[in-house]
Amino acid sequence: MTGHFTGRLKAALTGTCDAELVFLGNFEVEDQWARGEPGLPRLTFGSGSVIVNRMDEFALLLAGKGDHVVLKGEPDPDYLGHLEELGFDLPGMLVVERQDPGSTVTQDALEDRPVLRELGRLGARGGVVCAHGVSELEERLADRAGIPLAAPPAAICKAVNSKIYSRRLAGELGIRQTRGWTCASLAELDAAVEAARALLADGRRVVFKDAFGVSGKGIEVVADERRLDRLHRMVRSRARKAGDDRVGLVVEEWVAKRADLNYQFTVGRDGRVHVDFVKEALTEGGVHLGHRIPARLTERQTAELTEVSGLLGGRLADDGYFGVVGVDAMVDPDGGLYPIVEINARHNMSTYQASIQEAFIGSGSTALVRRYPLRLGAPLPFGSLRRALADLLFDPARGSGLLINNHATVNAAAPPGERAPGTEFAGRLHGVVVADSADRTAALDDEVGRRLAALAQGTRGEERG
Amino acid sequence: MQHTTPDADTADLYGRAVATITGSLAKSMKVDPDTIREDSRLFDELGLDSTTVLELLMTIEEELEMEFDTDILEQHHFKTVGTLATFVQEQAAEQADQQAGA
Repeated sequence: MTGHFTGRLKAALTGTCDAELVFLGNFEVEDQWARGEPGLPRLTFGSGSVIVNRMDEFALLLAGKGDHVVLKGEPDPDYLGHLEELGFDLPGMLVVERQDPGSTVTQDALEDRPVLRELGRLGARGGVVCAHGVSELEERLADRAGIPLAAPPAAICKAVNSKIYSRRLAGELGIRQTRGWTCASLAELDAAVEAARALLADGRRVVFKDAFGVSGKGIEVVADERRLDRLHRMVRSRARKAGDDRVGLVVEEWVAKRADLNYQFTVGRDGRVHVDFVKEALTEGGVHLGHRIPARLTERQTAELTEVSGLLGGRLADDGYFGVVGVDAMVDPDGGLYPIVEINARHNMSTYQASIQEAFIGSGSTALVRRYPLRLGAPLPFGSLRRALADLLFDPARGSGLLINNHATVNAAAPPGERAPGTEFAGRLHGVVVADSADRTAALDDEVGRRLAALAQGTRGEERG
Repeated sequence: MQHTTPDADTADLYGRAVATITGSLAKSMKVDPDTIREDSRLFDELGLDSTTVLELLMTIEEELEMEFDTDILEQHHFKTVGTLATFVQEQAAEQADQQAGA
């Protein structure tokens, strides 16, 4: 099963819908784009990045039969069997020999000679790399292996992903956005802080956003002047130490909203724009938790987002970008849209759900795209998950159930070697819950959560025993 | 204006840092402060994550009237409540030295 989306993606990136793509799931490429950029302090610790790095497995569902995916680890054979039963054509897999949990798949591949050799072989016969997002690391990988990247240069990808670019572009195109200020220099920051002070005095809140923040990181909501001054001092102090007056932030008014939206369009090499989908995003504290399908939008709202997609896509093409573009948007309490909160000119979580959506989420279905946090005492093989969730798993005949779209993140943070008694680790199961009504979807989601909690508890119990 | 505590008793500062970290985490993670110990692990046990860590640092700065050099923060500083309190103590001592030498 190679979905229409993947065919369209190939055509957009290469000009032909039967190109041989090598997918690279280098999630949180923002960490690379942010290097040397003077934003908010980046404090990425704990098991989070280890789990995020194993989101590379999502690419299995985007690739088709003739494609390839570079992976940090071998997928669980039972998981692969499960995907095949659902009708997915599995791609070729290039698995690195030794993965470093703290590294992205790109960094691991750069250190792996057999993978580099194989990438070179694929490149020689016309294969091209399709990365989650393109930074200098992906360029280095392509260069070292001898395979082209089906993407614009990293410098363009980085530039159009800055939140400063998003705000400026929305301003130039006359698209509604929250009151705010771009801060590329200390002088602009000083002016923004004074404007923010006036908003605070008026009883409003403001938010500082790192130009290359991702998924809730690099966002700080400010409700009083003391915190405003502290952040101002922190950014000034960092710039002083760096020895220049560059800043990479936006400061915005924190506004009330009824819903978050994500919409995606694809810009072709020829500049043509195709609107892919709109989803309602489930977020908490700025962290992406999943999506609701379909988004609860009026025809007018959908038409507005379609129009904005065309405008944005055209402008991105003019600036040298082509490929997938995801845009975060908001619905205000009165139903009005803020069509551009930020532009993510890279793959998005929704990108990897495209084939699932095409194959299994019909017009009469509703779906919740979810991530279930787990606290485990021992690794959880796919077979155990499958047994525990048996009757809840997606049944194509019934058209409902849970579709698991990443298993690697479950055990990504498991400590290596022999387990010490009492050791626990965080894991995450990604899946899509599908049913024929919102109520049934919610009930199924609850039951999946309950079963997983019991299963996780069992792994901790075994540990104690 | 930079607030520092050049005369702070460092042992006392450690205790205040533990109390501030505990109080801030108990509030943001909605847990009973009595369940948080000096050896409680910040990320794996208490649920601190990269989205809440800056908030914690700024609360410590405000409560203890100091400023962090965020560029030298490393993962091992955030292992437990105690390791972070030790880092706070070291940073405060360094700032006191800088002030004394200024």
